[in-house]
Amino acid sequence: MNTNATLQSALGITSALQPVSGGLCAQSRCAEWGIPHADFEQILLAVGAKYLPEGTQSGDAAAFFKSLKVEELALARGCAAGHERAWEVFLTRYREKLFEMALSIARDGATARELADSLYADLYGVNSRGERVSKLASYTGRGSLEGWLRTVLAQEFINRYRKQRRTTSLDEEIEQGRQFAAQPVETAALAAGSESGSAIDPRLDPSITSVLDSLTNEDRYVLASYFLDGRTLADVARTLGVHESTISRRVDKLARGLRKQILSELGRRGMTRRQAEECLDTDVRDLKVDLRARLTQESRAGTFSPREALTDSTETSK
Amino acid sequence: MPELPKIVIRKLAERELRPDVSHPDADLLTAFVECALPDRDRGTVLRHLADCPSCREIVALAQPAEVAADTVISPPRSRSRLAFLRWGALAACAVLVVSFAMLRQRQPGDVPLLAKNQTSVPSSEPRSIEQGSVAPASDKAVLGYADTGDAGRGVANQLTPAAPAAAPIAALPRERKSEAPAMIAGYDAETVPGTHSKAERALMPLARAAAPRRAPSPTRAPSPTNDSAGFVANGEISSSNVTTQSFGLPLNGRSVSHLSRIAPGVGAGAPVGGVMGASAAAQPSAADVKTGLVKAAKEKAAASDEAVRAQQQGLAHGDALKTADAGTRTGSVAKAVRTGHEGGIRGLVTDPSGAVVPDANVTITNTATGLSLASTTNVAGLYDVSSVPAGPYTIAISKAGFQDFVRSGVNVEPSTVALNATLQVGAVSEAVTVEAQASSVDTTSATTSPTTAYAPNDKDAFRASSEEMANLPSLVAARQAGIWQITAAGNLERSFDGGKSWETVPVLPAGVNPAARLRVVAATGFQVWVGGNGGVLLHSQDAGSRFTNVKVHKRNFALTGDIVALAFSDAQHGRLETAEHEVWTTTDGGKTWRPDAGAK
Repeated sequence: MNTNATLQSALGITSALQPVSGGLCAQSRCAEWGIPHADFEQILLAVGAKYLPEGTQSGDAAAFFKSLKVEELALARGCAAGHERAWEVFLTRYREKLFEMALSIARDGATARELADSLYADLYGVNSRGERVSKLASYTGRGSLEGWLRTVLAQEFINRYRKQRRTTSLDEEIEQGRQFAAQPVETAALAAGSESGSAIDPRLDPSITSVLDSLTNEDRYVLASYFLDGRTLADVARTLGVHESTISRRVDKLARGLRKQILSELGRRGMTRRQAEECLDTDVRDLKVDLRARLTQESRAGTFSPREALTDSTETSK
Repeated sequence: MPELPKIVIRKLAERELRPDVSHPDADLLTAFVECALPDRDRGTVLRHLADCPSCREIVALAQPAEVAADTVISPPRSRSRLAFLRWGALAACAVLVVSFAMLRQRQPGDVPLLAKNQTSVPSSEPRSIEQGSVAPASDKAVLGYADTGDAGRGVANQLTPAAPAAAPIAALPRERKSEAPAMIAGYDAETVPGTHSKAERALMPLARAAAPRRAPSPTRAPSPTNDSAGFVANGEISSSNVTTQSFGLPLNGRSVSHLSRIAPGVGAGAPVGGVMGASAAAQPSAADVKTGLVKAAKEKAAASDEAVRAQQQGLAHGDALKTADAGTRTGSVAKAVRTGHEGGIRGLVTDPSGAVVPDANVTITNTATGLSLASTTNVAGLYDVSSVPAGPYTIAISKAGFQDFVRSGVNVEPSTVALNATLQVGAVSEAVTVEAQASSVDTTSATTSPTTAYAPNDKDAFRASSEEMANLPSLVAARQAGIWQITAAGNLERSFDGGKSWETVPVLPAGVNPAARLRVVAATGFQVWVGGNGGVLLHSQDAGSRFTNVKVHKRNFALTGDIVALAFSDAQHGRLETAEHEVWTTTDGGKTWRPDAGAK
């Protein structure tokens, strides 16, 4: 993005903000937290600049600003600036919730306490040089403050978990009864399969890819959540804000549709129906495993692999 | 369970292995979780989520743990229909009225094995089972045998010829007493549950054998008068459904004390007890049998003693012993099993100091049917009115020296409702209103003044535990929740006095745009719904103490219009309409909303 475009975009946003800013400022009660209106406008502008793409219509921009949770945004920024009263209010509203949320994420009192405390430190954010670098300054009011806190906690939890994963010793893993054979073999087989594609019909791979590519993002999200992450239908439904039965039907339909589409794709590539079905039903674990590929996979396991972390954390969170 | 070919899952997983450098920030993820993203941003986030397991994990973890905030507490549901049927079936079996005759022809003077009534405890045993054995009107002389706590003995002896001087105990509904004079035996089975099985087991074959014969006369006991055998227990419950309940009974063989109770809508003469057991089994309507009525009354036994003797003479002549085979005997064990329609109320009555209040009068009145039952607290201050039909009740507890405790609108479900009461010591001014003896009232002590009765109904003096509050039905809830309005300025107001005065109720759920002007309000009981501009829908489950923001959306299609109409026909079913005439409805108390297909 060149400077000119940035400028123009900023100008567009500013012009969109102008008419609504008065109302938003009043609504945010930013003055209560020691933020002058002008400063709050700047904050809003910064938020707009962060999220609004170039060339946003001013109507859209205005709608965007209106959709912000300005009251909570002002409170967060007030806290970030170290306003006493803002902190008072913040703590009244969220101190207990913070721990509850941490508990619901970590499911273990000690971890939850640790998580909440560390987040609290981040939020308060005075570093060793006495400067205030509050994490609250990064809150932009797109979602509720409470939700944001929860998300930040979740992020923190995942990050922490990853770090811990790296320091888990081999002994511990054995103690935990991790089945080295089961999971890695599958992953290895998966990796091997992709590399030694010769074991499978070469037409299969592109067919599946093209069908998967044709899915909508949401569909892929649903599939990944359900089949890869092993989430329950209810969980998936909640994240999408729909009813569980909707997701249930959808997963069903997707699974059937995928199969059908892949079969027809294979057919298009010259396979007979029976061949295609056999091909599709090949159990990847039955495939001849390329030992070299598998070794490569195992040596790679030293570094963080999102998939592995995911599998593990899913287990813990269950 | 849908399945994907493993190879497809593999391909899905492969896409994820690609490292994803930049993740959406916490704000975007939060907004995604809260369904507050515009479609474009939502698409971006979803695309990332589809490929990024870490962020999926975060999103999953960041789900509000208590979706409960947006859910509606559904009212306690009565047991499922199936459960009811199951009870019904059980009742049908149990209510088989079995009578077995004990003919001791050879020892006419012998005292029958008739057992004394067991002492029964005011029991909270949920299934109150009462059994009565009745000799049916058959051409054979049959004497009902009252099986009591000595069931083992009774059973063991059931086939021995018995001298019939048995003191039969009647099993019959009160209002039928005169019509069905031949009462035989009943006992309060509630006391010793362990004995039932034995007795029942022994009796069951008899009942079965008897059933075919009896089946054709479903509702009426054969007239006993001209029947030599004629001990008929008329177990038919007439519509007034008076039953007896053993409750705090005297201990000797006399009888259980009776608490007349109203059986739930058993009208229509569902046969119970006595001969009718057989027919009850034969009829599907047996499931409707609510209670068996057994009144163990030794007095009656004595009264009918003469008759019994006469009968026995008849039996002796007829050599009934030989003929009274199982097929001709009809035994009855009236067994009143509480069915799915009944519940109970029990609780502890204490005074303000926490001391229990014995002998307080407890009256429960079904506000729907007007039927009323009375009880008293025992020495431990406990009362227990069991086997009452489900429905709304008013409970009044009175005790001399105390203010009356009245709690209306207690909903008795098919389970036992606990209602503890604290009686307030009568105030001096109230003492004035009572009679001269009132001077003896000690208004500071809860234990004196047995002579004085108070009648003030000061509902506000009740202490309601949270448990009791939970039991308050919506009627009371509505009274407490007040009535609501939205002012022209968009403030939510509430009135407790029918609109004479209004107070502003603050609406401050997290995440609601304070600029959104409120426009409409709908309330059912404690459930308050407020709609406003920009698709703002607020919900309070506690009469406005705390509001939560409800996102009305279906998939990506969220409600954004101004809500101009909002109506809830009950806590579950609601409908809202926007300025653009979009209509959304909910049937689950607002958990999910769906756009009305016809609109827009």
